[in-house]
Amino acid sequence: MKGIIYTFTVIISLGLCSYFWPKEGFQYQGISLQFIRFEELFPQPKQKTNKNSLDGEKIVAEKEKKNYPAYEGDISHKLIQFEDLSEADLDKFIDSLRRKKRDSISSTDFKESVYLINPPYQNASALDPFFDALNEIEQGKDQIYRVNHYGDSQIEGDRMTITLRNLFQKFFSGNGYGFIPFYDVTTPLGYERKLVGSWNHYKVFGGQKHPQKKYGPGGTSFSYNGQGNPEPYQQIQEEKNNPSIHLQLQKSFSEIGIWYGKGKTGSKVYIWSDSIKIAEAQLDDSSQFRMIRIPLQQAVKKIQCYFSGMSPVLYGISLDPKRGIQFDNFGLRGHSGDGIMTLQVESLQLMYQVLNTKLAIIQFGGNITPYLKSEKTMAYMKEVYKNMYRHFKKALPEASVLVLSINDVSRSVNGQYESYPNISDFRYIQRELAIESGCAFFDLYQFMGGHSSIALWNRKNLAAKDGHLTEESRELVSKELFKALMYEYNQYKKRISRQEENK
Amino acid sequence: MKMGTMQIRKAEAKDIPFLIQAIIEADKSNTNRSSYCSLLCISEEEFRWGLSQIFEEELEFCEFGLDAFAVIEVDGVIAAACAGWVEEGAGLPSWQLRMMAIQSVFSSTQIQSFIQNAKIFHSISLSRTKGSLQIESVFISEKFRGLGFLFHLIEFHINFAKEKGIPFQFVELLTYQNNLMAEKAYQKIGFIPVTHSNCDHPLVLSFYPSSGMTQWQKKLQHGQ
Amino acid sequence: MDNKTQLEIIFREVFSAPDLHIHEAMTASEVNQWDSISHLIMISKVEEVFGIKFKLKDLIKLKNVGDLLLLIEEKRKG
Repeated sequence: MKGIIYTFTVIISLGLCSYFWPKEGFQYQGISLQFIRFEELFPQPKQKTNKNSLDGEKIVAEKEKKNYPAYEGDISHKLIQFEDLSEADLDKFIDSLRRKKRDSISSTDFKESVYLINPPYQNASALDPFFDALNEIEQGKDQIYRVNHYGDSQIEGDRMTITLRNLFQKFFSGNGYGFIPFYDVTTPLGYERKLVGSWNHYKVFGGQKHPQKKYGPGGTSFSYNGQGNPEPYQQIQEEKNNPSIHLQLQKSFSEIGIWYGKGKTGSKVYIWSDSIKIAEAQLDDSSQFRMIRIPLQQAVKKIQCYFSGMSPVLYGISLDPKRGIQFDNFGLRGHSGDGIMTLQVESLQLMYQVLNTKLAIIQFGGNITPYLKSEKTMAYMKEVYKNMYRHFKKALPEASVLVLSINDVSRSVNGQYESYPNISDFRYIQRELAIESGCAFFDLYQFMGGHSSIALWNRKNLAAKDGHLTEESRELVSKELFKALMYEYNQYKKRISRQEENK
Repeated sequence: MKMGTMQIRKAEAKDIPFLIQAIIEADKSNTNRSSYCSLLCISEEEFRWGLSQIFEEELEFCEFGLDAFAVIEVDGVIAAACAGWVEEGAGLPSWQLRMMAIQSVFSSTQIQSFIQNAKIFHSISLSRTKGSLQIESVFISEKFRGLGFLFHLIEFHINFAKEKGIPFQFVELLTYQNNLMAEKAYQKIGFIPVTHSNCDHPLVLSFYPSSGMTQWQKKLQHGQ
Repeated sequence: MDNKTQLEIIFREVFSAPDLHIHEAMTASEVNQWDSISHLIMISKVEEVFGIKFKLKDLIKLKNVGDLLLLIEEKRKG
């Protein structure tokens, strides 16, 4: 019995020594005293390698790669209650913007803007995911990165988006028009479009609603009635009622994208350019959102897309580069943005993943100005916009969201035009909500001069009294936004450099 | 259906919510789209609000005013409504009054939308005949259909116009071509189709319930 | 430029009638292109050019172009 206790005690003692013995052993007068390690005595069973585990390693590696120094961007100097410019100063400011209109933009123009807020978010900045994408483009990554620009009649028909697209594509590469809906009320910029056949146009706001709520990322969708006709081309051209879209283009592009969902067996699209067939594709994938990418072999100025078979849910067409940055215009007249919440977060998330969206620009508010009359309605709108920004952010966990504030809007009161009340206050609400939701924020209201500023922009023929910018002022504003974003991008790149140096 | 007391009378202020509903439902013509909402790029709620503002202006000789409406009340509940007026009875065509009403209430952006959209679809509208008794915005609540309320409402308008001494040649109305039930009902009470419109724009069906309208007329009977 | 001349320019543009001459007793029935849409456009243009805003109670009293001219004058004074 004594022998058993003695043996057991020795084993326990040795085990404890093994467990607690330092890895590097004990050093004494140049001699290292080692002990067999606990792990050698009792090796752990090898973990079965599986796909998830490998993915997990890859994810960790990716995270480490993007582990930049924590963003400590101080935005406190921008979280102020602004003093509006005097009319004289605003006049000078607008003139200075106009003088710079013809100048081409270079990196020396990228200065910090007090109106653009890029808040810290999840140990990085709100705009970091977008800047990561720009960085990858600069490194030559073979991919298209998309920016989806949401708004109302202020941007409808590619307005503002076209300037942002041109500027970013000039600096980062890309071409084409981005998303083109089958129909829009307004005349689009830069191309001509004709729809043939009998179509339905569904919108989350201000029009026919889709019976099963099937909308694309822009909140619209289309379907054609009837079944169209298959080839040959000559037969198609003569048939007035063949569902088709005809585009006459000015810009070059490298690929055609067909955005559709809920495809039907036998549904097809035939893509022609005058009398030359470019491609055809099945539209029979029944998933909710698909984007078929069709590369072009040569440049074309005209496209006709003919559809046959039962209509899938069609979202639109895109004309894109092979790689680089692309901007999609999702302007919807009359909309205040809340209609996008008709789309489930999971649906939007799926669409954004397919599109590789890295930035959503949200520019709503003009259409709620008549309703900002009382504390009660302000509180109601605040709740709507809080939910909207969060909706976008949830749908874009690995992308950025940039909110553009409401701008000044006026209306006639007893024969005189006055700005709607409470716009300034609601702008601050938008700022608060954007930052809270992890979004960046551009104070368009203050940039344009603040309270009653639309009157001066109107007198200078740069805006309508109802707040709509002209072609000239849209370009001026878009350029300044671009410069402000590029300043922030340069700050991001400095952070990356510091990280690389510290490695 | 067993009914209690039925009363046909001129509409009163308390009926306005039902009258607004009648205008919207007639516009939708058994579909889910209102042409006014689509043309103005607004929600139904915004349109409802706009109509309530318009009703405060007390328009006459078009359906955007209390004065034009007659209602049927069953056991104290409004069951049906119908607008009626003699076209250009006060010198202006009803389309002009309608447009003025829209222009005064909706924003310039919404008006611009209306103009841009309506230009595309102008071929769908039909002109109303001056001096005819117009019937418009007929709406009968679902549980009261099939009881002859349509006939009673039109008769009420005919008699009312006569009592007021406003002369008219015949009764006239417009329907969307998708509304086959309405077409049957009007034919049953003596209306005949006199003209049709057709719009072949690719998206007409996203804005209007149908790609065309029909104009119907009914001559007055002896003794009417 | 007086109100009548200015209004005539607007009418010619909106109704695509370069030779149109307006007169006080003129009504919509006399002008070919004067329908519901062009009427909306015309009123919008008048409001924009003269810098005024009409109320519905003003508009429904208009029987002819003469009434419109009087209303424009009244609004501009006010």
